[in-house]
Amino acid sequence: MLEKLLWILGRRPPLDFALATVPQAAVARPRITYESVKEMIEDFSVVLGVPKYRTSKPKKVTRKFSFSRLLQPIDNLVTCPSCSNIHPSDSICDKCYEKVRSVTNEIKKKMMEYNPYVGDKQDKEIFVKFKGEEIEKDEVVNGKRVIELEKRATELV
Amino acid sequence: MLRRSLGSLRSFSSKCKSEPQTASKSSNTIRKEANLVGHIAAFPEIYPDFLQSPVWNRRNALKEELERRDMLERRMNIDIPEFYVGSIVAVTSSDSNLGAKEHRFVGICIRREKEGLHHQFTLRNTIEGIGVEIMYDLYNPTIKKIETLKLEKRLDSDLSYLIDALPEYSTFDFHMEPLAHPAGTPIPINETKVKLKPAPWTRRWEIFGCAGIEDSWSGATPWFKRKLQKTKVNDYEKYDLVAAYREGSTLEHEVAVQKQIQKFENERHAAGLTRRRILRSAAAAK
Amino acid sequence: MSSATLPRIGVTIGHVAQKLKTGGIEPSRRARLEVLRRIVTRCVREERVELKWNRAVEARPYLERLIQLGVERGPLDEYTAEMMEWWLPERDLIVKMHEVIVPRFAEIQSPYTSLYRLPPKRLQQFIQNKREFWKRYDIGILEIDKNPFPPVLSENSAKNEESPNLLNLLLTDALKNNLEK
Repeated sequence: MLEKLLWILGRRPPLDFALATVPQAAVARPRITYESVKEMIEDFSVVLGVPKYRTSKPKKVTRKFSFSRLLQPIDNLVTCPSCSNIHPSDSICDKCYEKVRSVTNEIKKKMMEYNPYVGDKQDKEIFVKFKGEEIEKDEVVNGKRVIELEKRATELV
Repeated sequence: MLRRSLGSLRSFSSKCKSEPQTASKSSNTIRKEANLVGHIAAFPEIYPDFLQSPVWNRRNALKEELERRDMLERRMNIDIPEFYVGSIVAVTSSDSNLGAKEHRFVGICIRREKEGLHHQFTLRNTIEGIGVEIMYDLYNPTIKKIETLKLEKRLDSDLSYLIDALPEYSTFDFHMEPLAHPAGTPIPINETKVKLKPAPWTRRWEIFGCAGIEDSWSGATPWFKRKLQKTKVNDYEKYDLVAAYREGSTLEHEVAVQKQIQKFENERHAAGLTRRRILRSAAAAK
Repeated sequence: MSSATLPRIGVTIGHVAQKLKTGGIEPSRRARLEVLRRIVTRCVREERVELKWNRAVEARPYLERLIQLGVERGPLDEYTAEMMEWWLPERDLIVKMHEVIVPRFAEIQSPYTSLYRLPPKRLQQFIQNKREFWKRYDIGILEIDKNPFPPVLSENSAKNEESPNLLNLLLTDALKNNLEK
């Protein structure tokens, strides 16, 4: 029994693509040149692998637009070194920026407190002074417009 | 190069890779360099052939460099004087079909276009009542001589409208004596405003806003006046700073080209072959 | 000297103008300029603004050029004055431009602005209060340099980015020294 099985396995054709040839008794030996295309097709004793059934539309559409095609994997994620937030590598960390944004908005609110319609101007640089901070020297300010925030620097950042 | 190696170094350590486009910290060196080279302020007007193409995908550093070398070589063989749109120029070119084997044409320069070896300028004159415009390639080897008879500018940088103006505005004497321009004085601007012939014209001059035309609006035909509401009046285009930047030239390019011209001149002068100068500006001369 | 050619703008500029969504204005080249004008005006007034990424990229060179005009030609130049008047329709902003922003960059090369990108934000939206859908926004932060606000990228985070590896530290320092030279 085992011998027979081995014999079958041994006789099996190799697992590979091959042309299925149909032997024709009429042709004595293979011809290399043909007179016309028609002759060639008639002589060509080869069956090509073609689909047996038409592929349905849903199958085609699924192949083209299935979820695995539409959703792209994000492979550029990095970890922020200071807050361990995960963000794309081409952008800055949004968690860190949230803090910056809150301070920026506080300063902006104060900065915008001027009325251009009565002749007020933003004609000076701005010096930001947090609550509890002391200005040691006047040279630091040097004619700048001082904006005093109601919060301490530690509270905000 | 260094910047790239820094970037790769950073990605080597598994930290945040983001590289935003931040403001520069380096000091402004190009202005100092321009002063050092003695940059000619009117460079784009005097040397429109040395500028880059306004179409960015036609700019090619190698092609420009090779063309520039050929242009400089040619400028060593023929004296190409400074002239502007509005100057009166005489061109002598060789013509094998003529008895004298050469042909001299005098006219007002109405256009200067294209960059590099393909630079063209057009002269216009009226001969026996017929307007004649001849377009010359500046680097055409059959040109024997170019003379500036009168160095001046007009109110516009393109005088194509002279084709629709009365013939008296583009009539110049062929036997005109060259007028010398006093060195070091600014180029005079001729503020004549031309009168156009009655419409139809070759182009709708009333919508171009040419400063050198006297009252183009009343000359336009009613049909075109009515059509003006449909056409786009694009006088706001001049505020598009970046569009102007795309078409204009940059100081970096001009300084680099001027340096190259100076180097070329010095090499030739040192070899003792010629004393001809390429780089000169009548307004900036000392 | 006043009408001399300007140096390059130090930021990336595409070879054609990009279309921008113009909201209530009928789309045209004029409308695009109006949108950019709003952004530039807001940027000069507030010095740091959050915008849609594509608008920030498109408006940045305009802002750069305007500052460059102020730096290179000064307030007395005719062309500069005309451009400032159009791009900054509010009078106090022209004063701010010439007296505050331009002196900051008197000796500095372009670019004068920074552009940071935030991670894309997804926000829920509804069609006729019924069908929900999620919209993705790419946000950029456009700022004029040397502003009074705390830096977007803090020095702390920059320090943390350095590798603890000794070889890397030495190499980074050597490269930095070389760049400074």
